[in-house]
Amino acid sequence: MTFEEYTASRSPALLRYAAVLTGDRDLAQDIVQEVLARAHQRWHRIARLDVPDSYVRRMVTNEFLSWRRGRWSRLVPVGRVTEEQCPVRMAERPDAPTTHAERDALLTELARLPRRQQAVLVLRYYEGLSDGEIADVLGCRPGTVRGYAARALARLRVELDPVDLHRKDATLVAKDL
Amino acid sequence: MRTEEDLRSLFAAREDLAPDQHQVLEGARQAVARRRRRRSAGAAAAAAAVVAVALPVTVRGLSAAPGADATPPEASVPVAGATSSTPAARVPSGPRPPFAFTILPGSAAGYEIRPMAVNPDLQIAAIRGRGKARIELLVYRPGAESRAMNGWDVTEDPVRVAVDRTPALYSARDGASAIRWEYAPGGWAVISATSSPVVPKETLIALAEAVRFSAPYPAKVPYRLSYLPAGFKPFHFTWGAEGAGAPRPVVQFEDGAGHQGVMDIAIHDGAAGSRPEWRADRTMAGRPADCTDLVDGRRCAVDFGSFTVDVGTGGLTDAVLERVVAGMRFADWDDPATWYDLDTAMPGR
Repeated sequence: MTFEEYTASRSPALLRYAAVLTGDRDLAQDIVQEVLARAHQRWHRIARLDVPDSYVRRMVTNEFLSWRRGRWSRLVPVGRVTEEQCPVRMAERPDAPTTHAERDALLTELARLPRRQQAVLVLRYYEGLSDGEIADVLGCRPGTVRGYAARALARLRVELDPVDLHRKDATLVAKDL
Repeated sequence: MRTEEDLRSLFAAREDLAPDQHQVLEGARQAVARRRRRRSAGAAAAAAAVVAVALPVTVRGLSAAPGADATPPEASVPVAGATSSTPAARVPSGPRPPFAFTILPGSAAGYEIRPMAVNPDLQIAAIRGRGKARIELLVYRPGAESRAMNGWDVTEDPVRVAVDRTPALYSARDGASAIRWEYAPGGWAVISATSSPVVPKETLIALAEAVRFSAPYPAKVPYRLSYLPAGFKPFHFTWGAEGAGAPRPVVQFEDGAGHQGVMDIAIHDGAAGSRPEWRADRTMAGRPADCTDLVDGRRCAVDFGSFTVDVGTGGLTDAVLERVVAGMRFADWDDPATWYDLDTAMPGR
């Protein structure tokens, strides 16, 4: 797969992933731009991987995790989308005002989580990855991923689905063994 | 109580924030072109170079020479070295040392010209005005004209114009505009701008005509190195800044095989502070260090209190990084007069 083929076929999904991960259109744009520019430089190596897309997504995740103030100013933005061109348009959704307010609160609390915890939630609930797969992306152990997720969910006051509770119990049992 | 479904729904809604694909790919294409251009000019360092042109920096203490058309900036750059006895000139007076500037800072046509980055083949200056236009001046070493031509981003339908009665080319496309002229025999300069609306041709010509040169003044760093891995040498210097007035000198290194970007050293103003996801679990050279692993390498920020050494590498081990940091001897961070010329700050110089 050439770089051009990759960007043509995969960049929409990559952009959606970056948007979900960051919750910020400008930052998502900067991150993907930077990652694609870097991926282009080493595409001959990335293309040899079994799943180049996983590697590029990992680059996006790492770029997000390594963000710090000032770093993004090195990027060259190519124009900004104005607010009215579509932030998350909660108001247009058929939700009751209460739901809107609640989702807003959840967004705010999510943004306050450490970025690694945010990434774990996105990888689990948006990408649908298992803890083991998330661990591969983040370069840590599955147990660490579960720890991040547990802390994040507790802070957000998210109740686990029964199936997850079962999984959690199983994990605890396995750990106890 | 919230549910996991709420999270799934929230994340799904965030897809609406996905940026425009065409815009991002165009941005990536431009970034690749810039990197290729700078690499081909011996610079390569897109990241640092863009820091150079992207950040508002208060330049300290570089006094313009008498007779300069350009007004000197209020504050000063530690890279300063231009002396008041040096006349400003439309053309550099002679060869330039590899890590020395000759672009004279100053203001013209409502813009401020701030020399920001340098390597043996290229000097870069940020040009900033009141608006949001992002303008950069690139001055290529004489003899590097083909590289300058390669770096010409807006080649379609160039219009012939004149800069100080010297033939020049102006071009504009998609919010980008540029002017290129031969400032000295075999030496090309480019001023490129990205803004909406496009920077007028007359403004670019006025800026080009305002560019002045001084005697070479060296890039300065607040440290000397007593150790570098074998074959490593600097290839690009950026005088960046994290914020207004805060210096952030960045040096990028290449190895003996010419692989650029194998290591970089940046100095930040102030303590490292807490950075999410950086693990503050080690020391380097006896100082607290935060490190993180990126896909393309490792970065460590070593906290020296009033400043932070930020060192990154594509493949060196922690032990080598620590040896580099341990071998650093520092000038007075707050007194740029004590800083070292980059050329002499390297081991064995």
